[in-house]
Amino acid sequence: MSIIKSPAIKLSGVRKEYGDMVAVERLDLEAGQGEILGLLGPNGSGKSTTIKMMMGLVKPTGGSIRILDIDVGKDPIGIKKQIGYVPESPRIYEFLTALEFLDLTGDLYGMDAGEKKQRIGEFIEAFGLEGREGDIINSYSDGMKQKAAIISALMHRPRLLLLDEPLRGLDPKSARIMKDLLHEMASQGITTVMSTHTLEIAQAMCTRIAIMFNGRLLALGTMEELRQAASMPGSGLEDIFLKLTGTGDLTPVVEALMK
Amino acid sequence: MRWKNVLRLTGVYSKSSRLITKRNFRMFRESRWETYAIYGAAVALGALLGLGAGYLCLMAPDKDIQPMLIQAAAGFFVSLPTMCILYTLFLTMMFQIQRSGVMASIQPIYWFPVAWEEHTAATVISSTLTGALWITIFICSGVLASSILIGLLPLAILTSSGLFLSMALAGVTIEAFKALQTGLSGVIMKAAGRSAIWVRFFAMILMFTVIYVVYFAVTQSSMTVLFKAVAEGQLTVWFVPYVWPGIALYAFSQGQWAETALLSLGSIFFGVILFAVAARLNARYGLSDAPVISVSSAYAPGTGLMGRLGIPAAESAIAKKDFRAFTRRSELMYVFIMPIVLVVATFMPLVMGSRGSMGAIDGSATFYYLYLALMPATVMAMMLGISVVGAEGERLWFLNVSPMPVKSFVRAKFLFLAMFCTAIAIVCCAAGYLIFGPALRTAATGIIEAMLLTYTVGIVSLSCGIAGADFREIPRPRMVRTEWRLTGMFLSMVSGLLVLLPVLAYGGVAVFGSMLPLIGMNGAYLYLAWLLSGAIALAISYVFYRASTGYARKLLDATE
Repeated sequence: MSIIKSPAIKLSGVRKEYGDMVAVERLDLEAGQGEILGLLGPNGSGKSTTIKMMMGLVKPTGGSIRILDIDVGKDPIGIKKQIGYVPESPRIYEFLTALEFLDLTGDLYGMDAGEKKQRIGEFIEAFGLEGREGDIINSYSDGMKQKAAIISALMHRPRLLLLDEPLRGLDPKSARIMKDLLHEMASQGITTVMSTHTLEIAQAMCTRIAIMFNGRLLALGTMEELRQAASMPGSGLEDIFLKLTGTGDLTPVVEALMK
Repeated sequence: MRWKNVLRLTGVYSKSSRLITKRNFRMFRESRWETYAIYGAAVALGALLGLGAGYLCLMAPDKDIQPMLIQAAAGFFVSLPTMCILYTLFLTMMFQIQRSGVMASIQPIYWFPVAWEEHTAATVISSTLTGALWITIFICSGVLASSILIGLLPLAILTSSGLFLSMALAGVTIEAFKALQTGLSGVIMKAAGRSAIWVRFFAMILMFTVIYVVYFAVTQSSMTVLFKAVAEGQLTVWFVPYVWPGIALYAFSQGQWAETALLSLGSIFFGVILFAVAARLNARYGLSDAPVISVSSAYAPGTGLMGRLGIPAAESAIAKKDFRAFTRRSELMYVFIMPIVLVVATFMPLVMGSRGSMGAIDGSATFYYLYLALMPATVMAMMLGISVVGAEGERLWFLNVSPMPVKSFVRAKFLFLAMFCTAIAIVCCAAGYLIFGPALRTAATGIIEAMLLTYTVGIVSLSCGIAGADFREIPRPRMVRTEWRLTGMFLSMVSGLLVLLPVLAYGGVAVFGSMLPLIGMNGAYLYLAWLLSGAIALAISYVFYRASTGYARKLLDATE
């Protein structure tokens, strides 16, 4: 796949209000082709809302969103065909087997029977679901359900991945496969936007990191750029994150709890 | 067993039960006054009726009748504990059915220091609090009030104690049965292997049908006959411990004190044993996880029947998914039961009245054929239409992120209900034809109108199901808001009548034409009636299809 230099994602002045509450405030964000962009922020900082707006599930109150050069509001079906999406805590059809669920996904994305069978087989094996693929999903652990949701997002060869906490509940082997897969897909020009609370993963995987707080973008850049922004040369992402989000020194809190 | 724990748990479980039935779960505020007012009303109403009945008994014009009335009242009191067992079993079972599909299970029992006996006692008490307790309090109040006037107070006091004991026996029985059923179903599911889904489906349908058949058999006989049967029948089955409270009362009314004491103590002992069994069964199966159901690991994607019929892959995939949902999710299986119940409720009294022969039906064969041809499929179309979108629940995000136009979404939902109800209509028409042997024109009318009704009612109810879809799944799946459920039922009825109107007019003329020859009409009008029905069905379906797509667009736009 050829790598196009125009941004895969372009958010300009995006704002989202729920009544009086401002969930996202004047957000400008771009991600290039083949980039892995990490979205970090405390709970309620607007990460999931931002991802949902990119997906077209939430309509922004203001601003514009272009995904793969398409206006999200203009061609929602066209956009959805290009995206693989894993929401936070995905609820999938528990009364289906993994095979039935993935077959449904293939049909909804218009995959032909041969490709569908091949892709499902490959992913089932890679994520260690073989032997359980014929079981009702209801009997799966949370991690196995997450794997089924991830396979469903990846199997139709999307050009953009929107992943909300994708590694949550995955066993180490599957997490490693997922990480390698995202790197490999990035090298093929597939863009990933990923929200996570696991800062080590963000630091290790993402080409750039966006830190959000109270609906605003606090910082955006590579690890080096974030260190400079926080004036913390040589620091890890955790320290930078805590400083930028104003969480600072947590020792007094811990001491109070231990009394 | 610590009673403080039992009371705390009872409070939590009964509040959870009330929440399940409430419409607005998140905004629900418990009103203690309202909760107690129901019991107060039961006491007041029971006392009022009891005093009224006692007064009527005393005011009997013929003094010879009075002893007979008092004797009848004593006979009535004696039958009450066994009646209590019956209604508590039924109400508690209904309560448990209502809880099926509840997502939020009460888990603290698993990690709090609570004994299984405490949990079992609290569950039994909380499950009888709604329904059974109101009725029991109402009856006790009536029995005590009337007995003051007619001089049966000692028997009435013992009857009241017997009623509470019987209620407890029934509650504990259901609790033991519930735990046993969990364990048994696990064993059966494992043994059934890949057929487990269908074993479970048919077992549930069978169980519900049996419950309803028993319910109709009981409620459709006269209450006097029922009480007489219970009063006499319980003496015949004296060896069944459930009737011991009733027989103890009978012994008391006959002045047999030793038998009274023995049977009363035996009832209490039986209750204790039953409770111990229920607690043991809960301890054994209460923590059991649902058994793993394997369907098949073989995967061979192909075009399939729907593909060969030219139905797009996405729409047929959703229809297949919905079919699996309604045959695998226990809380959705009730839609299959209603048509069965309709047939049972209509034909059982006829069959029972004619002592097993169809003689009573012969005279109205045309009506019963048309009833069987039209009703089950139409009712199923209505129920499926109303619930098929709400049944998506919190999983709707998946369809929302899929590249599927709104029209495909609506067509897929309609496709499932249309295909399923067509099959039901064909089966019912065929069965009706074999049983009632209607004329060919009547048979054809049945099948044509069944199809038209099914599709029209299906799309009408689907539009209401989309407009009023309720995706909340905690504590139980809601499917559709009550006002839209009622609207859907009303609009289905109106549109169904409109579709049937031309044929009804033909039928009316055929019936009354013999009395009023002036309004007789040519037999060819039937064909015109079919065409008119078809045109009305088409017009209604078009309007509601457009409404459905509009509602679906709004629904998906509002879903994150």
